[in-house]
Amino acid sequence: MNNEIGTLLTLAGYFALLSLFAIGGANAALPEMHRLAVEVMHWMSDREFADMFAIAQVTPGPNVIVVTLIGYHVAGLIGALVATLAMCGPTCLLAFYVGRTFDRFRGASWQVALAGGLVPVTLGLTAASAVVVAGAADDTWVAVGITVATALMTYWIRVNPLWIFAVAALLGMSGVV
Amino acid sequence: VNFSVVFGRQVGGTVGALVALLGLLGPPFVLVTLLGLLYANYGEIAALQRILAGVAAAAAGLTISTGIKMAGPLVQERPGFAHAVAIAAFVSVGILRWPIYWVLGVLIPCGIALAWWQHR
Repeated sequence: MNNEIGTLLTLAGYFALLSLFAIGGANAALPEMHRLAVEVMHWMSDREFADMFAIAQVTPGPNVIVVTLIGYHVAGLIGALVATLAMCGPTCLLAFYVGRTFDRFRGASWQVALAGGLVPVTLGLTAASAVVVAGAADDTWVAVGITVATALMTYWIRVNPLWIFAVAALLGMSGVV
Repeated sequence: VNFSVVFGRQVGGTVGALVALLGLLGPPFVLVTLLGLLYANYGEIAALQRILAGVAAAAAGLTISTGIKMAGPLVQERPGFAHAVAIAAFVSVGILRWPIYWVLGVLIPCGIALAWWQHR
């Protein structure tokens, strides 16, 4: 029981902290989630992390929903709730209280500087996410092929990723991956 | 998610912000929890594992193309501090796997200071 509460507290504290660092959205925070869930806490394997990322991607809605899956995996329904609230709560409060002030000063030079400083960081984090997720997901050459093909197709053609996911699922089911 | 809070507040105050948040997060939360339940119970099935392996590989590809699209405007710019900051964030978090807190604690103030200095 104590252990359970400890786990919930870890989930809550960790995701609340991460939410404040998750500039660029939940996907930019994936490397840190992977570091905690797989490498530090050993809550799940690389494979399970990749599976959860996949499930979150095919679920309609915001990307942040991957933390719900991690929370559920670690501590069931209550874990899912705690992780989701912790990840969304602090930034939502911030948005609630700061959002209007921020809008009022749109174009102010401190905002330009803020954006100019944050955008490259976000970019670097997103690229890092891509590497970490691909590292977790691609354990065969066919998987690498699917990753590269998806990247190329979604970059050059305006195709709904769900179609690609469907094809990838079929390829997976057929056993070639 | 944050945008929904700001937007909801503009439309309907505090209640609006809460409704917008619940509307955005509620349905996916229920759906993904159900999927999590299925995964916990049937994740061992070989066919499901193979399907997820395929989808995970594709989802990774989608993240890569998102990253490339985001990088587009920066790539066309003259190399400057922004490139250095982006590369530093990528290498330290993606390759060296350093904790995000230390990395951002250093890079965000540096990035903002440099952007400020350049903007002036």
